[in-house]
Amino acid sequence: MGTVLQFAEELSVGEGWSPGERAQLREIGVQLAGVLDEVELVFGKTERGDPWCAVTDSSGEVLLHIARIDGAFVVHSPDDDRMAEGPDLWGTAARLLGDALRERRGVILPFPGDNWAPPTALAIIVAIALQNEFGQFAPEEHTSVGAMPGTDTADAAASAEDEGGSDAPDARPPLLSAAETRPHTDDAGQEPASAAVVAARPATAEAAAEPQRRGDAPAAEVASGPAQALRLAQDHDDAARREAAAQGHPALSSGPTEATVSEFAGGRHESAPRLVEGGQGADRLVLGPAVVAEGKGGADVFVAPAPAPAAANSGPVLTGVIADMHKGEGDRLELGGGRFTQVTGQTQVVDILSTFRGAPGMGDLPTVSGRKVTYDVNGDGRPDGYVLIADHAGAWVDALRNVGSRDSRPWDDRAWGGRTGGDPGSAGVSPPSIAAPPGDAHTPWAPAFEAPSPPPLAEAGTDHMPHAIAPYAPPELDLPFV
Amino acid sequence: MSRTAAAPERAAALKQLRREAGAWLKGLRERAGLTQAELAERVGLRYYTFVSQVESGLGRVPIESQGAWAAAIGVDPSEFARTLLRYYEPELFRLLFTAAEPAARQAGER
Repeated sequence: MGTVLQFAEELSVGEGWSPGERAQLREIGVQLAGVLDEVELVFGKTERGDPWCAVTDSSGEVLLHIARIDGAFVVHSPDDDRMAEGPDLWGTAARLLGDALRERRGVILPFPGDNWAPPTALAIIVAIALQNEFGQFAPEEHTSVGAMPGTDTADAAASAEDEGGSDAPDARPPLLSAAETRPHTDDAGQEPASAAVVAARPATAEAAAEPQRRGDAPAAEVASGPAQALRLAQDHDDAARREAAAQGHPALSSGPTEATVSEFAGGRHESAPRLVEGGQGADRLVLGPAVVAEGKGGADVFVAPAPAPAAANSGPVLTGVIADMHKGEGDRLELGGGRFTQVTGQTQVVDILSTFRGAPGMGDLPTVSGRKVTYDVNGDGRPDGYVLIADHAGAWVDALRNVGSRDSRPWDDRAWGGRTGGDPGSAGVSPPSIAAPPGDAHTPWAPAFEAPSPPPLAEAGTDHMPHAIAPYAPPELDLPFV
Repeated sequence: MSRTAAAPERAAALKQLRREAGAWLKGLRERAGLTQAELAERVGLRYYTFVSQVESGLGRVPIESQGAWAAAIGVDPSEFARTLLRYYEPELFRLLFTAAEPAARQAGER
């Protein structure tokens, strides 16, 4: 099966659908593109405002009609006249399509920054929506990314912080290059919408390491039509894929330096947060509501779990703090812990440690400015969780280390030395699962030990496989994490 | 759901015809003073968003619904079906109604 995905999309398509729904529709299209030679997603809206999406083949024959009518989802296959109805989009589609739809994945976010906003994240979602047979992603190439003329990125970022509005991303100007502009008029008689195109080529670590094993890959491009359309097709350009793989990426070369920590620190914040430290290599650090993670050197992946549904019902909950996120090192943030996730916004915060200030010793730490990245895991467009990212790591991390994080685990590459290890006895309330880095990224491994009863932080515990993830880093974006 | 891909030129032509059909259908419905939901109810569609889809040039009015569709908007079913055939199956329409007419005339002249 293919491992390389090219895609392009009109960022304005899908009006009437929530950002999460649009992402799911695109994933449906991407997955169907893996079955069919070419599919096209056409978005429309009825005169009453109910959105629909038609999945068509290259000749325009409708393969699926998907609609949300009065809050309920309808999926119809005209070919055999089968129809499914249900309260959630993905579940309804899955009932009709069966095995054609695979499990959804979480969002992998490269590096939030000033010029980064949900429209960009939406594009990223499409890029990583396809998983290969190993269930891993690794964006590795991108094109056509640039500043949209007239785009006010500051305004975009500010509007992204409208956490209560599920349609907020629709109003934001696209941040990407205007590659095509097509007229669009829906049933409500809206004005023509500008279209922007972004393309990316994610690939798996497996595929990058062994390009000869690569298969066909779906591609996508913008298609014209009376409604807004997204076309997804198979890309048979093996040469291009080999070239992309040959270019490689530092993050794909995860070797003996890769370490993995699974941290399930839960509970309240009356105590100081636990400091989880990476080494100088490519680490994979799983966050938690009372975790401050420092990746240090290497292309680190910070994994923010999906918040427990009960917790998210009362508003977005903190799922982790990142002390250092560096674009130049290829650091990445993976949201959702395996669930389908949509970034809803980001904003600057004065003190990312404010949540913990009541804990003993925390009041003495300096104020640490940073960013708050919110994300939606249930597709309703509202943020369920958020991650705090410090603008700068520094002395405050050392101070935090001395406050109460007796179970923090500094290590370096030498400490692992191919040995699984760790000291569960010192892990405190929530001992982390720690595994030695495998010899290469493709070697199956198992944690050296598991926490006896990790708190039920959604699916965080399912993401134990270390995998090298190449950063998706649009070069034109001026990001602060350098 | 495997399909045979149409030639790009033919696919583009078919899409254009579908769009024209959609615009034609929308005009008929609006002249009849029906909303999309009302039309769907009269035709017996299971979901009214299908009307919007067809009017946008996606898909086609099912043959089994064309009679009810025509009745709902107050047009002659035969003319309605014939016009839709011209949009949806232009080659079949040509064979049935355009190419056949000269042949029939020739046969009559003999």
